[in-house]
Parts: sequence; C-alpha cells; structure tokens
Amino acid sequence: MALAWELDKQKVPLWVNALISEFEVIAPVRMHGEEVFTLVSDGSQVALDYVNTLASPKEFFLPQFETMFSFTTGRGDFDIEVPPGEEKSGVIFGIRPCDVNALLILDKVFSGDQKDNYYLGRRDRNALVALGCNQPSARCFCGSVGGGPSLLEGFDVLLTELGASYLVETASARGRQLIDKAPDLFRKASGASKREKRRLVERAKRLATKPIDPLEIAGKMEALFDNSKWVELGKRCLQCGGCTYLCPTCWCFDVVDRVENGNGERLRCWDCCLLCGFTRMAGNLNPRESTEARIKQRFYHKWDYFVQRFGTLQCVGCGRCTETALCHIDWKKVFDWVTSEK
Amino acid sequence: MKNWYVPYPAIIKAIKEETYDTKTFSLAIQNGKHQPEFQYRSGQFVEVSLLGYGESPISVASAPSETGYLELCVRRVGKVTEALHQLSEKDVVGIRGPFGNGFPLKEIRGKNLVFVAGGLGLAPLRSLINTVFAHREDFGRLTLLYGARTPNDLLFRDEFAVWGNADNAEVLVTVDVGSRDWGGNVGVVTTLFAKTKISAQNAVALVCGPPIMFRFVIQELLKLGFSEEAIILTLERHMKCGIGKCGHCNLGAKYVCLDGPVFSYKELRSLPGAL
Repeated sequence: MALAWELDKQKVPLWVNALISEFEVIAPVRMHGEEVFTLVSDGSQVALDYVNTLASPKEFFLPQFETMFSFTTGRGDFDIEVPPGEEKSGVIFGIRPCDVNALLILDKVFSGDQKDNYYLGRRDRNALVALGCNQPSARCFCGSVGGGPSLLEGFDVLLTELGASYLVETASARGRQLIDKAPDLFRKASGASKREKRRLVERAKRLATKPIDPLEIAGKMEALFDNSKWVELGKRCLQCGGCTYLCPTCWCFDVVDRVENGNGERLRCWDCCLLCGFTRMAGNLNPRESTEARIKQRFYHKWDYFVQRFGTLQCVGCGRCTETALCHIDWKKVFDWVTSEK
Repeated sequence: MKNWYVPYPAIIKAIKEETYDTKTFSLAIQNGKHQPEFQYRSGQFVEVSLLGYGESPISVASAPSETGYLELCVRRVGKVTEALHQLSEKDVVGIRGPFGNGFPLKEIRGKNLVFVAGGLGLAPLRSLINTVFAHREDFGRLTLLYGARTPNDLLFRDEFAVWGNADNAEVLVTVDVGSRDWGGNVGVVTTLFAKTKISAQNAVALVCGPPIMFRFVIQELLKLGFSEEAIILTLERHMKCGIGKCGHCNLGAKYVCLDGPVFSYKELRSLPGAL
C-alpha cells in the first residue's frame, strides 16, 4: 500500500545527505550542461530539474565493463576468483519512470531458470527513488507504450513535483526505510496534493502519448519483414551503436578475456546487434551480414520477438535512440510507416 | 546461487589429430562442488574456456553412453581454438555446460535415421550416431551421408567402417574436390542421395553442416517426402553465454542456446534468418 508525504524542494539535499550516510547514492548531477547519473558525495550536487539524462542509469546494474572473475595464467593453473559483490547498499535517486520500467524489462531477461547473479545482486542492493515526469520532451513517447510518465510499480519511492514541493509515495518496506532515515523532513500529504499529482500525471500522459499503437505495430511486423524500407534504413545506419548503448532496455553483451602480467580477467562488456561482428561465427560465416538484416533484428526484437517471448514490448518510449542516431533514423517515423501500411 | 558464468576444470586425457586443422580432445571433468556429475545429452554443447583467450561454444562429439570422458572435435579457426590446439595431454581447460536441448531421442525412437553431415557438422551427429549404436535395438536403419571439402578434411574416418559394416547401417562419403589417391565419390553431399535408396517412410533426417548445405539438403529431403517435422537440424551460432542472456544467438522469439541448437525444419522455417 502506497503511503504519501510531502517534501519541500529545499529539503531534498538534506534527505540525500541522510541517505549518503548509509548508502551509495547515485543521482543526476549537472556536468558540462548535461545531467549524468553518478555517485554523489553531497546532496547539493543532485539536479532534479532535468527532462531526461542522455544515458540511463542502466550501467549501475549492467556495467559497460564488468569483471566476471579473475584468474592467473600459468600453465596448469585453474584458479578462478569471483569478485565479492559490493557490500554497501545503494540508492538510485531521481530515476525516471521509463528507466524504472526498463529495469523491469531487464529483470525478465536476467532472472528465469538461469539467474544472472551479477545483475540480480545489484538489483537487490539498490533501491529506486523514482522521479515522475511532468514535462515530457518532444522525443518522448512513453505514454504510448506504458513506459511512463509516472509509475504504478517497480519503485521504492516515487517523487512527483508539485511546484515548491514533491509528493513522496512509497510502495515497499525498503522505500519506507528511506523515508525513515530523515522522518522529520517529511509531512503527511494532503488530499489536495494527491489530487494535484493526478492532474499533473494526466496532463503529462497526454504530452507523452504520440500516435503510436504498439499492438497495431506488433501485429503488422510479420507482414512487413521483406519490405524494401528495411534496405533503405539499413543503408542509412552508420553502425555507430549509439542507439543500443543509450537504450535502457538493450542488454546484449560480449564476453572477453584480458590479461596483464599473468593476471587475467574475464570481462563482459556491452555489445551491439547493429555491429557486423555481433553474429560472426568461426570461419567468417555471418548469419546477419547485411546492415538491413541487423537493423531489422533490432526493431523486430523490440517490437515482435521480445513480445512473443516475454509478453511485453522491449521499449519504454524514452526516445534516446532517435536523439542519438547520427544517421537521423527517427523511430517515430518508422512507426508512422508501419502504421500506415495496410 | 549458482554462478553460470564460471567454468570448472577439465583435464585433457587424449588428443587425436583428425585432419591438418582439426583435433578431437578427450576431456575428463574434474568434479567440483558445482558439478558433482557431468551429464549431457547428444546434441548439447559446452562452452570451452581457455583462461586468457576466451570461450567458444563447441558441440559434444561423444555419446553419453561413453562415460568418464567427453569428446570435443575442434577446428583451428579463431583465437580460442588456435590456443586449444597448442595444448597437450594433462593440460587443463575450462568447461561450462552442457547447454541446449539436444536431439529429441523419444521422438526418433523406432525410426529409420538418415544423417546428413557437412564438414565439422559430423561432430554433433557422431554423438547421436554413437548413442544409436549403444541402443541399437531402439532404432531402425541408419544411413549416414557425409561430405567434406577434400579427402584430407574427412573427420572420424576410422569410424566409417565400424558404422557402415554394422547391420542395417550404411555410410556414404563424398568430397567436393577429390585427390589423386581418392577413389570415392566426388561432389557435394546432395549428390549422395542418388547413390542409395532413402525412404521417408517412418524415417527422420538429422542434418548438420554449413548454412548453404542446409538449404540444398532440405530441398532434397522434402522431394523425398520427408515432412517438415521429420527434418531435424542443429544450428551453429556464436553463443557467448549459453544461458539465453548475451543475445548473440537470438532467432525470432528463440535463443539457439536455450531452445536449440536442435530444431525441426518446421520450427526453423518460421524463424527469421535461421537458414
């Protein structure tokens, strides 16, 4: 059951400082004119007046590079050491609803019968203090795909901006514990504040809802598989990988060994299905040799294959792919095209 | 909680040179706390680790009935396999797995089996062939059609006679390009279909080879009257994790490492980019 308080904006740094005393707090900080999720050492660093970060906080659950284990490389050696998980719990502070929903999508991938301890360990250790969106940007379409602009699940604490204060709601015992770190800062939320939140969420939802119907798109995908439009999009793709790295729901990784002075590490690092080597096999055989096949893979995986396997879209409507694409592939235009096909 | 990414040690017990670029490694799993007993099915694969070089997915070439060791037939083509080829007996490698579904033994029981292999594709099929010979009464006629590039590329050649001379079994071999002392068939593997009598009646075809071979073999089998369900293929993909996480072997809604690598043609037909 959600409980609600109000927190004055100027008290946010005090709350963050109370959290820092016990947790590693990761929050958006303004750097060179851009907000970036990073470890903060003082509440005054936190910048909550942002639209969305260019990179989601995905890297705090699935780091760009991660040591899965270390080893020595002497002949006959087989000593493997798995790094101990971080002991300190963390708080991801100010994460947007789309990025929370993206984590719920990644959870499906990394749990299941073969659990991924690395990812799931970080999910367990890190609480989420989410920040609802009142002003989605032109690039956002979370309202169309259920990615935002607010949340009903997946958070420990949900903040919604109400002028000079935040409405603070909890959905978990862990969320309640975060409030209890500095209970004096919070006051019980009034009925008027809760009503104001509902109004703001409805308004934001209208702004973040674009003429994109996921069911219609998912339903039309199969028939469009051999359409020449994919050839055109494939030609435009520069294979920079930016869209997959910034996508909060892309998780594909490569596994490589790195050795220095006889000490080795097995690393996993982000990989990208748009890169030519992604599916290359022994003997240089490549089942997805063309950029057309690869751009189709990315689109179909998110809007068709993932839906078939996990029962949900693999897209939260954050619009980062379009924002970053050097080739100006605008996914909203691709959706328009799919929708316009009979 | 089990860490699926950590390999456990296996000792190389024997190395057999199959060809100039391919060796069969016989490994004994060192029992560790995570792997008290290594059990696998024909058609499954393992991830072979060479610490410092990386990992490669390799299908198991031995049959589960051969206990105490595990055979991997490995061609020297990349970083890990090149390093593996430098190893000697008693050296240690890492193993994760077994992964994947394996061949549908229940479904093929009692059937006539037509194996079609191209090149290294014989390795996973050999596991099943040896399983069939270990339980001979459970299966009907066994036919193996095997093609390699040249006579020097033929794998497991000392076993052809053992298989071919057994009751109710036949082995046909061909090479794309012959040599002076090669007296056998020359031509791609599909040319072998005309050299023996294959009936689709109560039969299942089991196919493994390069993608181009799949396309032509499937056509031949369909012409012979095999149903789409009776054509069983095992796919190669560069699986990095083996547990459906890394994304490299994704095919439509399936992961080759979890849902495969063995699929019927009926299943594969609907998976984009599978063949």
